[in-house]
Amino acid sequence: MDDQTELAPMDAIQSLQILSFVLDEEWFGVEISGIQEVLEYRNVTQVPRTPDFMLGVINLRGRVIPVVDLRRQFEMHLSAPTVDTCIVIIHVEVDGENTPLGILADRVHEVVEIDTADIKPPPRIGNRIKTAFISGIVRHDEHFIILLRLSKVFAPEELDLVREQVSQEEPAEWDDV
Amino acid sequence: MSKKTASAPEKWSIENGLSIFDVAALEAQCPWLQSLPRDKQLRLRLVGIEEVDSAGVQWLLALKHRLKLHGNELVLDAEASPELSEALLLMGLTESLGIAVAAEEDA
Amino acid sequence: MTDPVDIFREEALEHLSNLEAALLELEQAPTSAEEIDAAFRSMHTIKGAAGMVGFDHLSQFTHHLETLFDRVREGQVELTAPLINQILEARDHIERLLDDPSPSVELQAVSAAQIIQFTEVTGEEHAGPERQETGHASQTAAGEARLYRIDICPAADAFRDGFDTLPLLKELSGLGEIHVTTRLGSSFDPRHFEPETCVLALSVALTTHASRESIEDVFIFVGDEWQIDITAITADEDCRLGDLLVDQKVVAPDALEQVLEQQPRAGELITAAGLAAPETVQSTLDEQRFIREQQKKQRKATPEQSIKVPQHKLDQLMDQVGELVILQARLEQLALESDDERASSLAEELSRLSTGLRETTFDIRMLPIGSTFGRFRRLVRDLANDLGKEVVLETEGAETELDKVVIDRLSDPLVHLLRNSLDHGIETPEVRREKGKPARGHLWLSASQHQGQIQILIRDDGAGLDTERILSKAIERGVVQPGADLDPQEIYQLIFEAGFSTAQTVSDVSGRGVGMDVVKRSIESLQGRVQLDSTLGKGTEVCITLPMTLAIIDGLMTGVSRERYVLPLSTVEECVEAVPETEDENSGVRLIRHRDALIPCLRLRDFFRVGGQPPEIEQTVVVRVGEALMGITVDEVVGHFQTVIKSLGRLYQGAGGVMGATIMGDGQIAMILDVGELVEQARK
Repeated sequence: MDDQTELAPMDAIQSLQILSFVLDEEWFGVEISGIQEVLEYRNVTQVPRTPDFMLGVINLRGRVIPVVDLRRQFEMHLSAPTVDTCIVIIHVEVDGENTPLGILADRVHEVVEIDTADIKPPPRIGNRIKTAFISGIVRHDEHFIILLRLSKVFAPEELDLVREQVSQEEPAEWDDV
Repeated sequence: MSKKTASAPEKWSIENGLSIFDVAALEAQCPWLQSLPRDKQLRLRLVGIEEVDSAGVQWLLALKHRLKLHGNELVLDAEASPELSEALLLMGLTESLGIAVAAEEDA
Repeated sequence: MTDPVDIFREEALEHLSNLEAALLELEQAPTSAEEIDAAFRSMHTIKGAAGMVGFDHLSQFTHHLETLFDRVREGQVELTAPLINQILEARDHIERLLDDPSPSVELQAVSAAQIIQFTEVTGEEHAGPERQETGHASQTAAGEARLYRIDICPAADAFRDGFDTLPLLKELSGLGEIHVTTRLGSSFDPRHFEPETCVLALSVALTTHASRESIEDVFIFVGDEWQIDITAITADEDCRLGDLLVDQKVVAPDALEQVLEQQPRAGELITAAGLAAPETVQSTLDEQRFIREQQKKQRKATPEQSIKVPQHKLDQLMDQVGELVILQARLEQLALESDDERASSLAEELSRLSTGLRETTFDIRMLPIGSTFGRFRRLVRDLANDLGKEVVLETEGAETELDKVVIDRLSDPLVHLLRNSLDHGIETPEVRREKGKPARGHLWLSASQHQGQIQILIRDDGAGLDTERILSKAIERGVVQPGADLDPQEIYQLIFEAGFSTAQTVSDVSGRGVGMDVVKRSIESLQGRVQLDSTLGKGTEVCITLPMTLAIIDGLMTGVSRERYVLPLSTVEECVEAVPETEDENSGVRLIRHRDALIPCLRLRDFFRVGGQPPEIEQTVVVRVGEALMGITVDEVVGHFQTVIKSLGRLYQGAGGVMGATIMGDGQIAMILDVGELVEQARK
């Protein structure tokens, strides 16, 4: 559950390979060892009465894999899926269990090799997303890439928060004939 | 029940039924019981047997026994019939009445 | 480790070390009541458990030791040093007896010798080796297969009266392994054969666990004129060909003796001497061979052979069967779409096959829940001792079968609940006496199956739950708003709330406390449900309802817009079209009329916020959970499918109203509804 799942200890490793992708025109990166594959966007089946951030599930070769839309969690602008939209299948610890899940990405770029020395701590202010979700920021070409700390995004506390929202916004709306 | 000729043929067929409803007719029509042959190998063809009961099986046993008294050997040529096979298996007669009966006994 | 015998062995070894420890203490203090009790209990437990897993000899042996300790307890027998030595020897002997449910003759002789020593001490009526033996023999007779010979001589008019021997033989073969000899009986006259008169004589060798009564029952409907003789053949009885022939009245005894005196091969001789037809001899030889084989099996005394298989192989099998079922659904759909006769017949064939395979696979995975009860008994005993309480655990329904995975994952929550009952529920003997209750507390653990579900009850006659204190605690912890108006049921549910119990032990609240939310979560992850009921001062009852399996269910597929939802078929009462509906005046809940009663009805489209427009005619599926009926309105009912349940994973844990997903023939995903949860929602 610690940072090692996304970022190896910095003193031991000089460089990192990250997959970079775009959410609402912002660049994000995830260390590639947890990534299983990148899929083209496909129809996601909704799971009823769950937070919007949890888009639903897809069938991946007979397995049911949940797909999340981080843009909702990060309160970003949502755009309809395009030909560029992808689902990144990645293994994340959720509640202590290694869970494969899909992350919706507006665009997936490339695997970038970065020097660990170039990773800067996240700025304390001025972020659109919670600082806790970010393990660092690195500059690559003309972009800043936000390195995500996925274990925090899917930490039980965060999930509870999201779930609570849904129970509040849906006050037992029991049929409205 | 066909192929009935004056001189007892060495082959004869039973079709369809081999049960209490058929045995009286079989007994009456079986050519070998009228003109008892001697020391022959007689082949009884069983075709499309769908109904078997122990009366039918008893008739086969009795036929075999009576023919044997005159030195005849009765060989059953049977088309695959699950009903017949099951009946013979249940009654423990697969070897003594089964298809292609061995000519000699073990004992 | 869930093999009852393995569990028994492990526990017996623990009891033996308890016994040993007690004996060593007793050597120093021969009158220590505590140690004598411990020794008595260990023998008592081994005796009972041994009997349950078929170690009858061991059970008998320990009975004598139990008696011995009983006498010691009552002060009738003094534990001298030599006696303690003898008991220690007996303890080692018990360890050897644990190897094999039917010990060797040598070990049995050791048992007998030791028993004599003990009975001399106890003055117990001399249960010598003879009684021992007969007791043992009758025990094994119940467990092992027996060999019977059944001679059947139908009445002459049997065929004409509409009887046939084939159904009887079929029925006998259902009781065990049979070998039949059919021949023409003595009434057969080759010169005057009447084909409709029965002259058959049949002898059946039957190896069966069934009782003589159940064999007799096979012939219950045949006429009185039939001759039916049922003879039990024991393994020791030497069955020679000659005996069989005589028995079958084929050859007269004295004629046979003459022939046998001339020796060589009896079969040939009997035939040559013209005593019996070769066929008869042959079939009798066959029968003899069969009887020999059966006796060999009987001697080996293997009541039932089983193989141990690693869990992961079973899981793999289950997964593959699951995949097969999905594939079969796809083929079925393809066949339907292509309208190809051959494809549909193939699909049908495959469906039959995979249903059978699925059932067999499930059956393999089903285990009696009783395999865990033994451990609980131990736990309760130990814990009660630790807490200074007197508690009896009574179990019921140990034979109830559950998926092994469910049993394994159920173990922890059950331990938790039992522990809670002991810890917070049942009072100390002193308190109980003050309250006018028997000093010894009772715990009940029962399992049963109904409506395709397993119900597990844990009940104690302890202090019960104090609703007021729970409520004030809950308010204190911020689980409930002050002034909330809750009925007792709702208050009980509070102890399942995470915030209520995890913070710290709340043993001051009379009742449960530690980690009930964990229990609830574990049960829910098994698609189960926990309910709690309590009467202050009288006790508490926890009811767990579980599905029998977690892998595949029979489902009713329904549709709302483009979404598909599966309802477990076990909950479906019926499907109705366009029902008249009203609204509850107070709550605004939609009601429909169902068989002269108004039942709540939920429109899935609204409840799940599915987009699109409803069709003109909607369908309503009436479901039942326990006593509660509810309507679920959908756009269409698609049909009945075998549904492989896929977990939605951690992320979706607690998704309301959905218990999993399934992959349909076209690769799309359908949600499987948690009907119990929906009904629950409807109640609110």
